[in-house]
Amino acid sequence: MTQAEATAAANPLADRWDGPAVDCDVQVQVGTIETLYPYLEKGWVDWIESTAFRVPPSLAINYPPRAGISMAPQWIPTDGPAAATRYEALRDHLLEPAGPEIAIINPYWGLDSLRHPELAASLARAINDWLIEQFLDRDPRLRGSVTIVHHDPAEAIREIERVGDHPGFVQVHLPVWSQAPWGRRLWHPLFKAIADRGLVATIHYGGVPDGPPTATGWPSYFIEHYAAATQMYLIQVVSIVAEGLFEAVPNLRITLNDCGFIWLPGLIWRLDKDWKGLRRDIPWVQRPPSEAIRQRLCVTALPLDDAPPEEIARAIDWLGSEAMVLYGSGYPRAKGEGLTALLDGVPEAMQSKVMSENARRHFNL
Amino acid sequence: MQVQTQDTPQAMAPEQLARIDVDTHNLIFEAQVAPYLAKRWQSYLETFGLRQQAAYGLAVGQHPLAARTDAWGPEGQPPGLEPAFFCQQLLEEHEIDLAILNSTLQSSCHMMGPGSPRQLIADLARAGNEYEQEVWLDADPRLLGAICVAFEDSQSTVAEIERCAPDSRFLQILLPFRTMDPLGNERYWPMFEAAEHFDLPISLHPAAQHGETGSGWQSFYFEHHAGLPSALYSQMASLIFEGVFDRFPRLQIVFQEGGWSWVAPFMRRLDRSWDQLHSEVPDLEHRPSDYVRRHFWFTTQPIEEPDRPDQFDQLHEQFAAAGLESRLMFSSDYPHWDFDAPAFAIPHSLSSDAREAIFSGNALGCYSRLALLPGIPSTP
Amino acid sequence: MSGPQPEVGSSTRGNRYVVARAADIPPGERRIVRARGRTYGIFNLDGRFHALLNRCPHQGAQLCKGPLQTFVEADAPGRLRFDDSRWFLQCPWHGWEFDIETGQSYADPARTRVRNYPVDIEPGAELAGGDDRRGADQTQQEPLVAGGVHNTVVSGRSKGPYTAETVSVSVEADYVVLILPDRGSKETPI
Repeated sequence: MTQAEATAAANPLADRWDGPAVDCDVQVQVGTIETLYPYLEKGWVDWIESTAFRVPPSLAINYPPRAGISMAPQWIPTDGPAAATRYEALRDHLLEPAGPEIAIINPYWGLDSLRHPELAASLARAINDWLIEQFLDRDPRLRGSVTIVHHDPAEAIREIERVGDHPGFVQVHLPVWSQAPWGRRLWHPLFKAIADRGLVATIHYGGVPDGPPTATGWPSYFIEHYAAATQMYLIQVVSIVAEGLFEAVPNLRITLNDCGFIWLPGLIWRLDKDWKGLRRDIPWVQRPPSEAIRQRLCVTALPLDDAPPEEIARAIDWLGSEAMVLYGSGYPRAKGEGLTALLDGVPEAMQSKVMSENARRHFNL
Repeated sequence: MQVQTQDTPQAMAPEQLARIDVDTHNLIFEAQVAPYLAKRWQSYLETFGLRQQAAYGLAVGQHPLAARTDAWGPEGQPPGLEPAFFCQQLLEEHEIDLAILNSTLQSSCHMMGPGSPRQLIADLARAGNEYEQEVWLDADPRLLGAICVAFEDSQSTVAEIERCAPDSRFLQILLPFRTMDPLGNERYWPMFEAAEHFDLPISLHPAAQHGETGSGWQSFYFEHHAGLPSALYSQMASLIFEGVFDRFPRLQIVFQEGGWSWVAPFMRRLDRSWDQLHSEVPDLEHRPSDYVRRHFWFTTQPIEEPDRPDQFDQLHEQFAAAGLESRLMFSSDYPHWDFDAPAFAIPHSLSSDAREAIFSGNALGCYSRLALLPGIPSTP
Repeated sequence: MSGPQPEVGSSTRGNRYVVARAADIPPGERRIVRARGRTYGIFNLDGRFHALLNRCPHQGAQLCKGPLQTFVEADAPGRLRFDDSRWFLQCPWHGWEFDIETGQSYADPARTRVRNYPVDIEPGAELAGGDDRRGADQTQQEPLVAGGVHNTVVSGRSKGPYTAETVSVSVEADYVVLILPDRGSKETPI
């Protein structure tokens, strides 16, 4: 099968949805570091060449190159450009066949595992410039994520201020494994910078913490690390609520990317329950946490983990809001059964919200 | 140590028990166990104290000793200190037939973890278990216990399990949610072997290392409480994917106070991950969700409180549809502040069969050692 | 406040319960008392008395045994303010907060509350002195059964199968009188 044939066969929207669609979950890949050379000072290029640095390690920790979750089988290249490393691949694989009105792209490259502040900052700038020139400026359907390195919040804010006004950027990507839980006050200025530019803070699968990546030590297998990643989204949401991030930054909007949503209602209920009795611990949370979550937090739909339609429908009812779930194809990652299952589960009256309206409101498209 | 047989006026067979409370807390601090320690460790504690992970991030709770403010005794005794008041305020008042004591030595204070001399921790566990037998299990036949072990030290752990297991009033082995490595790690396997041999479930309970997550420490007690399940995701994944249950097919795991609404969705995620990644763990004999259905148990407190009452029934349906309806056990968490009263906490909208299973039937399935007990009196 | 408000001076028989001597509940203290088969918490907040039903609407805990706390609020993270003009009773189970003056919960004031009741302070002379408000057969020699922890109380008129100690009313002392809705009147549902 040629790439073109595989593409046609794998079109996520084909025959299932012909209405407007905003794809909120698309990844592009830097590929090799040479891709970034045009966007780096010559001094950094020389530095990189002389140190033989190639790629940050956390990319492979979170996406082992040949592991099943890292690339959907139809995108493993046999001919033509590697999936999502170049605009042409994205266009041919997704934009043309699937025809979303807008696709929001995220170029996660694992920069979080680079601790050298200048190297990391220069690479973040390079990635943002690369994304603008090679993707955002080439197709009005594309929107992007600002890459920052959160270890130095002041530098991250400077980068947001440098590129955040480009009309192509709609969100700042923050990894779910972080140096400290995202609600912490030390991050509040970063979130304020994000919100003040009308950008959304999107928390995505990836990143490295300062210590072990779980609440209970170092997992032995990748599958443990990957499967149990839900715990990270859980504690990040809890932190954001508890530390009053929603109150501190009233115009902040947040997305959870790549954790699914069927687990989320249970947490929302638990947050409300605990708030009633523990409000004095966090008195800046003056309203039940579910209110802020339902108004200001969205979650991309995949992975659905083979949940049957009735479970998807029930989860949406439990969420208590029709505005929270966002369609995303997950291209080119493999996230299991996607659009078919989603549309089978989402009530018909809500489908256009999930497929595009929620995203347009959330990202102010 | 003697196994106590009780002369009881109204012995009940286990099947006749109507309410079993699988998570309660008797208060055991250093002060109580110090007299039971070897002299060396008594004086060590006096001079150097106990260094534990909990010290790295105390999230100050809203309630002293995390307890109900009405659970202090008539003379001001701290909650959970005295068996008589415990039995009156919990068993009598709430018509509970049996209660499993999860000593605060491990369950809340988590004194068995890393950071202090290995032999001290081993001795602390032994002392705590002896104190529990003498002061608590001997006090009332309705009180059953959990074995504290220095779980990071497999040698002393196995020895302590072997020492305590002949006392059939010990129903489980008590661990905190967070261990230095995820529990599937092979260095914990000697403990699993002993546990399986004696039909003792490994029972995890939140403990004093409140704040640790995979991205640093939490700031607030609220975070700790709302985020309780976080470590359990890793513990469940680790136990499954490291092949613990293939090696120990009768081993049972209890997750106490960690909630249960997250389990059915996580089973799906485990299965889907395995569908894509099983080449990493090719020796695993079953699908991950099958292991959850066969080896894990959950307790009700803190009970889920959805927006609408019918959503609770739906939540329970989801749990049951995942094959877990026989694995949810009533717990009160007495004397802690978020205590669930049995008469009110479990919604009456559930079927009577479901309620009966939650209140006693499922616990009887989990704790097969109950059948070893000579006779258990009913609460009059 | 729930229930019909008795007007001072109106004839309100059978629903005014002497529950304690005022001196038995100094400022900052409380007492759990019994009337009509239920228990109530009587609180003295700086000389003002408040009465709440001793039952949390959540899971039925003895609400009035919980801590009474000044209100803490914050309009932003890090900007805590302690407001000692507002006091909340916190349920000993689960920690729900109830405004001591209105009985409303903090979390959901419109729909979740605990019943509260008016409290009067009456001089003993009036209670014992054959005042019409207390009913015709009330005399100084008639001992009233006064309230205390788990003790039962009796109104000026009716007496019941109480097992409490009895206290003679002294004309020199002041008494705390709990005013419950008229018998047979529907209390405002929670």
